[in-house]
Amino acid sequence: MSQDVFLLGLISAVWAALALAYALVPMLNMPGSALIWGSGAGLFLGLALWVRRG
Amino acid sequence: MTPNTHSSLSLSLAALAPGDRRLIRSLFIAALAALALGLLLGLWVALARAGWARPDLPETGYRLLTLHGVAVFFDWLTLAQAGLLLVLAAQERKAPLSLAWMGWAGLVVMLVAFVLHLLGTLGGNPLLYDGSPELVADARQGALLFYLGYGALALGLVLLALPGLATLVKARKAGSGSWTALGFGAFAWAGLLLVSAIALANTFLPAILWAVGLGGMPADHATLWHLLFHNMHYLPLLGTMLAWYLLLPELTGARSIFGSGFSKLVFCLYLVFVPPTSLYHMFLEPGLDPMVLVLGSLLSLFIGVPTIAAFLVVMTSLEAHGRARGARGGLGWLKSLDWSQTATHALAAAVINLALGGVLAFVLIQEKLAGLLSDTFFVPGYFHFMTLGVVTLSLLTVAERIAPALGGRGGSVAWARYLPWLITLGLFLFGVAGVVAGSQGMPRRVLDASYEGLAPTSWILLSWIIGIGALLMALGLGLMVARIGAAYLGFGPKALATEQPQAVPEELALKQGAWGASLAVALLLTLITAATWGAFALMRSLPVIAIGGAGH
Amino acid sequence: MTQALDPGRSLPTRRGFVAAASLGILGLYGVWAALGASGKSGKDESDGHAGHGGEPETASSSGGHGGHGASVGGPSTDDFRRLTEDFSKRWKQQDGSVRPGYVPEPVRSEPDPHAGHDMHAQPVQPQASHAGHAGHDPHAGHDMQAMQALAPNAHAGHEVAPLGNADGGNEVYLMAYQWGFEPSWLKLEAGKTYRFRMMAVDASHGASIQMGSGSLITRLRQGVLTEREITFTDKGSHLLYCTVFCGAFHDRMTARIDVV
Repeated sequence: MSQDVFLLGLISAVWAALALAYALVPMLNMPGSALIWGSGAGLFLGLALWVRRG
Repeated sequence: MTPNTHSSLSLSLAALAPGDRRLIRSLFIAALAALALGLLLGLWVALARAGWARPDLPETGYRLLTLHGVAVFFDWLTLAQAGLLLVLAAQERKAPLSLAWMGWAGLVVMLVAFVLHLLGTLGGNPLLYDGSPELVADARQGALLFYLGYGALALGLVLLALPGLATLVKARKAGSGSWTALGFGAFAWAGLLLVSAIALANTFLPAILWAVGLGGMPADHATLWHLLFHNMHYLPLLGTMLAWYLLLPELTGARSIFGSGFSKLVFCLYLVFVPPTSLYHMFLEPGLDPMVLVLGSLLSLFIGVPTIAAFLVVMTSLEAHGRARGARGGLGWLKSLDWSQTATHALAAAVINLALGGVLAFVLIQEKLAGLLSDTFFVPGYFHFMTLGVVTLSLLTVAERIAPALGGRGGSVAWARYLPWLITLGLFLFGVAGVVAGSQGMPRRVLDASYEGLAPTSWILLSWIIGIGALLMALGLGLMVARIGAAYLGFGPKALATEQPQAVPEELALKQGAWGASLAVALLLTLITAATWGAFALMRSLPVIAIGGAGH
Repeated sequence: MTQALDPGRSLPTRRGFVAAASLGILGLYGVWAALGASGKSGKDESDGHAGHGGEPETASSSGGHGGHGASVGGPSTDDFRRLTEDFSKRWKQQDGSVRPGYVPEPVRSEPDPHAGHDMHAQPVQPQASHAGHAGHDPHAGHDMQAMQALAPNAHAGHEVAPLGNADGGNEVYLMAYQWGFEPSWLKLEAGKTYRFRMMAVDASHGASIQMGSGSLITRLRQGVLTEREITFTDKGSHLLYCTVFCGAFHDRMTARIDVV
């Protein structure tokens, strides 16, 4: 895996973890944040796959 | 006479299809028009606050404030960033753009968004840029056009980002199978543009549905707006870093001496740290768990890491390059820069404004200071350093540098070099007076802060200084926009051919004791500490003890 | 790694140095800690204005509950209107101010002659300073509506929990509406801790207090009960003003707090 793809995947993974935290941690309780960053995680995963396929 | 024949950027733009160049040129012309409108409206608002202009109706003043925010923050920045993205993609690809038609469609949609915003702002109840539904509960149809403007903006962002993304993917495939640091940064940045479109839809789709009677009033609009705003104001900061990466080799010949992998990591970290830092916008919201406040402050520190890293990469590379070329003494590398170029002055001013804005930003992210500073004029006092002094100056510099390669003019005129400093002087007055007034509690988003004589008299004086600062800013920025706009429209002196400065061997640059940027960062951290201490001292000097703020 | 050990590189051109220097910003947390601002908030100094070292007289406010902007567990806006009305009636003084806990001056028992009217259009003495409001408000209906809710017996028959009579005047009810506050003139004692119970009833508002060289900023969301325990340590007169844009007359939304 190239560094480009790895870093895009890293962004996706971190955002996905944050989206989960926003969705599941009662203290945070921010469904709007979960939706945005969860969508962003999916988007960056898609971008990473697009780059990998070239 | 062929302009900038030897510039790498000019060669990249020359490799575009003529239609591609027309697209980028059109994007910047539209962007400059939005900026011109926005700065006039912003000036009017500042003069109104100073008592030097008064609307016949109070609604009118707030409508103009809203248009100022929309024209500058959403229209100017989006269009200029779209132009920058295509320039970065062209630099990476060195061949025609992919999906250029989408860029044209995006431009049209952006114009539609502007018209919708204009109609929505001028009609119905006065709304601020956040379009709070609760203010139009009894006239929701009037707000529909305003909300649709944001919907169109979301679509425009997608359409404007996709040509850049597609071109960059092609560039990577056509090249060595990996991007340059700039290419990677541009791609990740374009991804964040798309996320901003998602945030826009997330915020305003419920409002649109509510306005047409298909849904209940969006209960969470304020929180969603915070998220959108957070995204939209970090987006141009990353764009600014990319603009600096793009321009420095053009201006100085210097390139990063830290390797592309390191720069890619820095850009990546920037994106990684954007989401968790959003909490600080909500410090004043009732009902936040106390631990969220602590977390929000702590996490907000992390966005400083890639920002400072990018600054160090750029400035240390620049200094090492200058020293390798023979610059001596503490500031010899600065003196060795080409100060005949307007761009050098603009970027130098941007660096100073970044430092000033940075000091204030790290005061604002401290949750315990929210009850002293949030919702006050401290906030615009700080963010104008960033949006105007850093981002806008940098984007204008890109626009200026590429005008000749896009078929425009763009010859150098000596007086233009003073404009970034005039803007910075205005910003300094505006920002310092705004920060002092904000520290005293003078609110933002009011037209008359005198409160009919009930407010501290200092607010009047500070509003005057803010007004004078705004006048200077508007004068400098207006002249800058007019000059660059004229170049895009084919007026003004022709650009002369310039040689891109040659880079020195990297091995030589690496040996230089380039401490300037590191010392600047140390000074910055000291100033942040001092400003934080000062804010706490002020807060503790107030004749009040307050606990809580929790909502039920 | 090889680069970090490369003797051909000066220190500031090493990646490890740049990374370490960038992480230096995290040291600001140490500054916050030194300033006493790094701990968990909410129980003893949630907004940092509690920096005088004195403990408040009453228990600290509760922590956050529920979602942001959600009204969970607090009174409805109508109930809050009535609570505020009761509060104002109970502690209203002859001069028109509302002074919770002040016993020597008898509480007026007759209905407020101005009840049911736009308070700014019919200013009594304390609101005289706000007389500029009169005639500005094209949406007087809002005020009228709000004030009708404040009028005695406007909601007779509703079961609303009465104010605790044993509170000794430690509670202050403050209602924010387009475009004013109720009560519009508070008199509070220096050194006494008050539990401010605040709510914006028609749109989001601010209820910020100007304190000379600084302010105490509070944001109120519509229908969300917000509580703060506030102790004024010095005597003086303070402007209470809205810091959240709430419509055309946002900048005329003021009240007065006299600390005696």
